[in-house]
Formats: sequence, structure tokens, C-alpha cells
Amino acid sequence: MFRILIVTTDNEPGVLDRVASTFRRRGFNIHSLTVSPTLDPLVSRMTLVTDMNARSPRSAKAFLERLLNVHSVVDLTEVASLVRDVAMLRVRATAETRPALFQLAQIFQAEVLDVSPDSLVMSVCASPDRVDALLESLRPYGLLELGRSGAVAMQRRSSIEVPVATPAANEDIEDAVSF
Amino acid sequence: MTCPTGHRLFISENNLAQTGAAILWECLEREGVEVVFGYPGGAILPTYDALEHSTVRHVLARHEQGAAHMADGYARASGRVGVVLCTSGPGATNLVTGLATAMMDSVPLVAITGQVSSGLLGSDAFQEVDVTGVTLPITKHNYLVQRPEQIAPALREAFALAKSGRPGPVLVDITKDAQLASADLDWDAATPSRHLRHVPPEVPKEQLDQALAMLRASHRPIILAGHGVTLSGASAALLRFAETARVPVACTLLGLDSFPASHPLFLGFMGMHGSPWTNLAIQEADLILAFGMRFDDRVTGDPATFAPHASKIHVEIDRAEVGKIIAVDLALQGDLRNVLERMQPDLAPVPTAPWLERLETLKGPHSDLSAEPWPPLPPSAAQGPIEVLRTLFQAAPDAIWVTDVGQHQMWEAQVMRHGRPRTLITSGGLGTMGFALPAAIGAKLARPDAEVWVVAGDGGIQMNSQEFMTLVQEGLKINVAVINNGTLGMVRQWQTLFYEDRRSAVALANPDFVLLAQAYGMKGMRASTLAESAAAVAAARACPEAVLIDFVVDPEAAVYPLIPPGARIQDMKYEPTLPTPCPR
Repeated sequence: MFRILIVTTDNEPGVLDRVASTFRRRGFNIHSLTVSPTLDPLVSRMTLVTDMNARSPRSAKAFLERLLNVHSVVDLTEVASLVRDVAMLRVRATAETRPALFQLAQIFQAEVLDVSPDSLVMSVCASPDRVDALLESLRPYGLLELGRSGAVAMQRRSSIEVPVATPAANEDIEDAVSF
Repeated sequence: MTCPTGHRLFISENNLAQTGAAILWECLEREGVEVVFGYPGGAILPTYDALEHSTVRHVLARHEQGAAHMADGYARASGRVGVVLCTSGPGATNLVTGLATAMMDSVPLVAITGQVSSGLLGSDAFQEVDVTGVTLPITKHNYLVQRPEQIAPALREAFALAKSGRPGPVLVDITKDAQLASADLDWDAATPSRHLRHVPPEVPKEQLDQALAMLRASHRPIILAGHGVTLSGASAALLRFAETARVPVACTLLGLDSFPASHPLFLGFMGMHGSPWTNLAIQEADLILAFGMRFDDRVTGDPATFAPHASKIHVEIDRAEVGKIIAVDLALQGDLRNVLERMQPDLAPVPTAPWLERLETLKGPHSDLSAEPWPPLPPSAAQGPIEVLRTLFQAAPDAIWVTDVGQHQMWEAQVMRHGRPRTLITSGGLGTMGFALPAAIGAKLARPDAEVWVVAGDGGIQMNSQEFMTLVQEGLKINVAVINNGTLGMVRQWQTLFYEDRRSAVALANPDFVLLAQAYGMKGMRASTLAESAAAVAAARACPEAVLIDFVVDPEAAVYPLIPPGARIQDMKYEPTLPTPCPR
């Protein structure tokens, strides 16, 4: 199964290397990893999605907490959390298929960024499974290129997710973390 | 111009600054460093240039790996942080085995390496290597320092980190221009705090009570004592704990000197080459108290069948070790000494009399180790390596024994009877051949009044034999026992047992070790019979100079008992005659 870890670290050169090296060394697979500075410019935050078949999630957390630069490791897998993934994709588009593609984009709250005679580029920011669902919907048209950011996640404090005005926005918490 | 500590002061714009090199030495002095093991070279030259103004003693090794093991031996013998200093590139990469050895065995080291000037970083300059990258997985942390004002904060944090929590090696890589440029040394501003981030708080009282309740309810408890006992200074606390609760103590290789071997509750060496009764006791126990040990595969054999009837309490400072190999019922994450001392007032005797009786039965003829008479050694007997080790131990029971890796290391663990902490120094986790000689040099410098013996095989002694010259140059009285069977004995033994006796690349043609010792300016002796051995050991101890004794031993001797790798403890292989532990 996939687990989502939020790792806060010193914002220093080489910290990403230390975190990634710890995972490599212990045989954990990194599914996705995003890093950026936080509100405190001295602190970085990583959202790390990992495949935990090999060992217990507890030891991954403990191995990370051995690193001097790591402030904290929070496992979001079993707590209510919000996960978002940004995807940019190029899909084959003809005059005939373009209306259907625009309709799909609307349903998934994707943005059409560029239109060319034989393709178009969309971006979407959604839970990873919704991104997957969009990709599946577009696949029959011919996906030409795909880039994904990897997950960014945050623990929920409220019990409900603020609804967004879209037909497919009723995802529940389990969906958000199940991939 | 010199400052009060004797350092040369380099006048800069504000007239206060010192060079990075001078800051480095002042930091080492303020950290209480008395000796540094090192080897100079281009990128560390500014630091070596400033050495003459320092009170720190520098020991010139003959190889950076040797220097690293010396710092390691110094740390293990003293409990203080060992320091190794060398140049960039090949100097730094030569540290790798030493750092990995210290990392595996939780030894506090600070390694300082020179680096090419900051402007050249990343250009594949002469003797440039990405040493922080290379050593990332084999250090607790490492630093690349490119400015002189970063030297003090990095070094102070390195020392704090090396000894805090679970100790380990820390590397500080300092560019040449940072050593040359000047800055103010602001000692107080460099006070570290980040090393405390992951040091666990005191174990909650409720958890201690839970452990005590489990102990009270047990009938067949056993303590497994690891290196953490010595590292946390918990030997005395462990002794009180075991005596009060009447719980027997089995030891890992690095825990062997943490509990007095003469004590009736001492069960001895556990694991692959451990005593049969110790391993069988673990299998029969109903409660395991794992103190500062990490369930290494050489201890557990097949983890699925290890101690199947026992509840397990693990006292361990490194949370990553808890549940890594063996699932435990109660984990107390914290400092062992603190845990034991806080449990002591509530500790009551556990009715272990029937259990201790059962253990006596398991021990059989070795029942009362402390009273067992010394087995007489017939003067004409063929010289077996175990008998040589017995002879050594009989002559110097209170020495610091620094062993290398292989058969002799296991025989030492089986027959030597350590009475005090820090009297067995050996590479347990990494199993580094070539460790013993340089580590003994460090140990002797840490404990100049102690009798220090190297025990090494004829293979391992040749892996860092260049350090004989360091030993002589420093005028150190160390005795070196080469257990010479003309073969890589442990490898040969495994080939015999697990590869149908196909002996591949194990026959060693050796130098004349007596002449080799003499070439270095040491005394050399050869002993081929037990009578000669006893005489040579006595002569070596009486000799004021360093002595090497070449003990020529039976090449076919093997280490028994043995639990094949990954096998169940009950699959232990016995030899007809078990090695008899020495009385103490």
C-alpha cells in the first residue's frame, strides 16, 4: 500500500539527498516526492509517497527521524488528510474530438492551457485518484505526454472537506489517500 | 602574535580574527581533545601548518584507514570522542571503512577532512572527491564547510552529535580556503542544539512499571546485554539490576565486557558462535530483557524462531532499532542507565531459582565457571589456537584485548573472561579485518596505564601492518599476538562446512612475522608449542618494548559451536569437544 509522509526538514543543501538516501538504503520505494520551503524560509516540507510493502511504516519514520536535519515526520495515511496532485498532459485532439475533450476538462475541473491543430494541453489539480480518472477518460483519445507533480498533502483539522462546485467533488477521505 | 591559548593570531581587517585553521584547533582544545590521529596532504595543509601552536597531540598514522581505526579504538577505550584528520580525495576515501566500522558499532568519532577550495568544488579538481556524498550513509551526519565562520558551529555540533543519543561518526569536510581565511571565533554563538532534536525524553514511569510487572510475572527471564550497556555507562546499574532481580545475563559480542564474567549470573556469549547453554536459555526463556542491543542476525539466527516462548522488552535509545528484526512487546526508548537506575528502587527478586537450576543443567560440566580449575596444559601438546588464547588470558586477565576479525575473534569471545567494561575492543557489526592493530594504538593512547594486547589472525594483521611503524614511532608498549594458521581460517571453515570443503583463495603465504616485527623496530618471537607460547607471553609482558608473537597454530582448527547463517538456534552444530571457557 501507499503511505503519505510529511517530512519537515532544515532548508539546507543536501537534505533531499539524505532523505532519499535513507529510503534507498533501507529498500523503501519512493513513489513521489515533492519539496518546497514553508512559511518559515529555514524549514522545508516534503510530501513523500512511498510503497511500504517491504517493511513497516514505523521504521521508515524512525529511520528518517535519525537524520539531524529532520524536524518531524507525520504519517498521514491513517489520519484524515487532503492530497493534491498537479498533472499537465498533452492529448491528441481533432476538430471532431475537441468538444468532448473540453467537456471532460470541465467535468474534471481541468484547465485547457494550449490548443493546437492536432492536440491540446490540459492541467489539473486534484486528488491523485481523480487525476488518474481523468487520465483514464482521456486515454482513448490518445495521450501524448504527461507530467505529474507528485502528491502534496496536508492533515485535515475539520471533519468535512469544503465542497467545490463540480459534479465529481464528493470524494471522501478514503479516496483522498487510497490512490 | 599569539592568543592566550597559544594560537597564532592572523591580523585581519578587524584585528580580531583568526584563520579557520586556528579556529579548528582551538575548537578541538575546547572540546577537550587530547589526541588526533591523522595524515597530512594538500587540502588540509593550512590546518597542519597551525598544528604546532596547539596543545593537541597528533599521531601520524601510515594510512588514513589506520588513523580512523585508531580514533575508533581511542573512543572505545575511553568513552570519549575520537578524532581523525586527513586530506581531501584519497585521504578522505581511505576513511570510508573506518567510518563504516564506527557507524555499525555506535562509536563516537569526528572525522575532519580537507577539501579543495570552494571555487574549485564540482570541477573535478586535483584530489577532489564528494566526500559528504560518499560518506552520507556511513555517518550520523556530515558537513561541507566553505567559510571560516562555519567551522566552530559545525565542529561543536559534530562533537555533540557524535556522542548524543546513539553515538556514531560525524564528518566535517572543510575547504582549503575556509582554513586559510579569517573569522572571529564566537564559541557561545556556536553552541549546538539541533543534536537534541531526536534524543528521546525520559522513559515514562508507566512504561517502567509495565516492564517491572512483566518481570514480576516471569519465571524464566533473561537479560541480553549489548554494546549499549557500555555506551550508556550502565554496567554497574546492570549488575545491581541483575543481582536484585536474580536474572541471568547473556551478552552479545560487544556486550561481553559489560557484565563481569566471573559472576554466577553471567551466562556468556550468545549467537552464532555463542555458548550452547546461552542460546538454549534464550530459546527456553519466557521473558527477554534486551538491553542496548539490536538483534543482529549473528545473534538471532532465524528471527522467526528466535526466543519463541518469550515476551520481549527492548530498552534501546535508537527507535529505528525497535521492531526492526524482532517484534517486541514493550519498547522503552531511552537511555539504558537512566531506565535501569529508575527501575532499581521498585525491583524485587524474581523467583528464578528453578530457572537458574535449569541453566546449570544446560551448562553441564561448565556449571561453575568461576570455580572451574584451570585445565592443565600438557607441555608437549599440539598447539591449538584456543589453548593459545587461554594462555594469553591466564597471563593477563585484566588487559584490554583488541581483536581483529575471524576465528580468533570468536575464540577470544568464547574463552576470555572480561571483568570490566571497555576491556574488549573489536569490530562487531562491520567485521573489519585490519581493525585490531590501529584500534589498539588508539586504545593505548586512551589508557596508557593499561596492558593492551592485539589478537589478530595472519590475514587480518597484514591488512594494516603498516601501523606497526606508527606504534613504534609513538613509543607505545603494545603486545601483538598473531594467531597464525597460514590460512584465512573463518573463510576456510565456511568453505568446509557450506561449500563441500572446496578451499578457494584461502591459503596464505606469509612474511616472517618475527623478522617483520624486527624490521619495524619491535621485538619478534615465535611460539610453536604451548610451552613456548607460555614463555613468549611472559617474556613479552616483561619486555618494555612492543612485542609481536607469532603463534603457529593448528591450521585445521574450527570455531564451534556454530549456528549456520539464518538457521534456527536449535540447528546449532557442535564439535565433539566444546571449548572450555577460562575460569576467572
